[in-house]
This record gives sequence, structure tokens and C-alpha cells, in this order.
Amino acid sequence: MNVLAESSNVNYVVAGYVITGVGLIAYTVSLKVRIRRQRKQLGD
Amino acid sequence: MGRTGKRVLLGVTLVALAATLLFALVVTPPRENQGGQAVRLLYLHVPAAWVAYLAFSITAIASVLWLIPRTRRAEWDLLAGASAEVGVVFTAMMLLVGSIWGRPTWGTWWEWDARLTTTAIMFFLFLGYLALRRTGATADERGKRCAIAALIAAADLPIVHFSVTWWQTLHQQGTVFNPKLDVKVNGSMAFTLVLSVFAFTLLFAYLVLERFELAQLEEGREERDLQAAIAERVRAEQAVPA
Repeated sequence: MNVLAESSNVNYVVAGYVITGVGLIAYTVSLKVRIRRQRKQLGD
Repeated sequence: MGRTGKRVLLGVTLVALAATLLFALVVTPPRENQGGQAVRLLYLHVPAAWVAYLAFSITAIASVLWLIPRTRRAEWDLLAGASAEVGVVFTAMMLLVGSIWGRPTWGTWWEWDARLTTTAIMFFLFLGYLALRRTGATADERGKRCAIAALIAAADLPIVHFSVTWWQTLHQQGTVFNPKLDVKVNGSMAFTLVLSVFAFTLLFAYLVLERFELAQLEEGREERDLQAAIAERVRAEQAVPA
């Protein structure tokens, strides 16, 4: 029973880390893209 | 900070985040009396909460500096906005990870507990602040309106922090900053927690610098568009025969 509960807990840990990682990478990339776009527009 | 400085900061941040992952997922063992494997979410939830406090405190301080005529500079308004946006990202992350952690620990994804509710209110207050920043106005009007809104939203910060002391509901008391300053973690858990807070603080600094640069570029473009519109209007008026 404990083994089952622990393996289910691992799923929550994986979900937490994946969501956080994807979210932070997506936000960082979006900032980079927006900065590049603004620089391009200012350089036009 | 120049581009080289930002690259160095990003490099150090990535190393710190990689070390955090290693310690949080591999080196530090789970504790049976603290939720087993699920306790590994502590190393995301607590640093995200710390960064949210830090971000919104910076927004509040920058807003005060903008409101005082002697210290008023356009940069304070841009910094307030940049810090608030990054703070909202980390607050969303804290709420999501907290919800995922709550399921195996409390048996529920969400509870209208004092800490959870006040944190959700803080999230929506600063989301509203970001929406307010996008409304059309002169830089001065926007600065004043947003600085006041930021201070109103920041009033929720101490309520969020002390909510677990004032109303003893489901959420546990602070892991480090509780009334008795009784640190609830020790050994490798404490080390990993400090490391994760350090890594997230570096990441916060990097993201705020990036968002600040973006805000400056947006201001530059708005200024250029305004000048172009004025020049166009002047040309059009000159072209009309008397």
C-alpha cells in the first residue's frame, strides 16, 4: 500500500517540476522574442 | 547591466538551478514524516513564494519612489511594472505547485483556507495592476495611477504572510519565518531549501532585468510613434491651402 502511495506521490512531484520548468522556460523565451521584436521595430 | 553582465548572470542562474534540481530530486532523501516523495515540491513552492514577496515588495518600493516628487524617475515606474509581471508569474507557479502538493498531502487540490485565499487575492490584485498598466494614458498619468494601485495591492502582502498565524486553518505555519522562528527543516533539506531560494532569486533578478529592458524598448517605440504622429499631423496641416 505504501509503495503504491509513494509511486502516486512521485507523479505529483513530476507534474510539479514539469509544469514549473515549462512555465519558466516559456516566459523566458517570450521575453527574449518580445525584446528582439521591439529592437527590430526600433531599428526599422 | 550590459549584455555581458546579463549573460554571466544567466550562466550562474542556470548552474544554480541545475544544482537545485540535483539536490531536490536526487541527493536529498524524502522524509516519511513530512509527506514522503511529495516533500520534494517544497523546493519549488517555498522559493516561488519568497520570490513573489520580493517582487511585489520591489514593486511597492519603486512605486513609492515614483510618487515622491524628489525621487521621481521614469525608471521607477518601469521597474515596478517589470517586477510585478515576474512576481505574477512566480505567484501563479506557487499556487499551481501548492495545489499539486495539496492533493497528496491534504487530499484536496484547493481549499478556501486563509493562506490560499489571501494568496489568490494577491495574484488577482497584481494581475489587475498589470492590466491597468496597459490602459492608454500619458507616462505621468499611468505612473500615478499604477503606483497607487500597486500600494493598494501590496497591502495584501502582510495579510498573506501572517494569515497562517492569525487564522489557523489548513495551511501549515511558515517553514522558516514563523512566530517562534522555529526552523522546521534541517540537514540536507535545509541546505537544498537555501540553494533553491538562492537559485530562484538569481532567476528573478535575470527575468526582471530582461523585462525592464523590454519596458524601456516599448517606451522608446511609443515615443517614436508619438513623434511620427505629430510630424505627420504638422505635415498634413501645412499641406492644407490657406
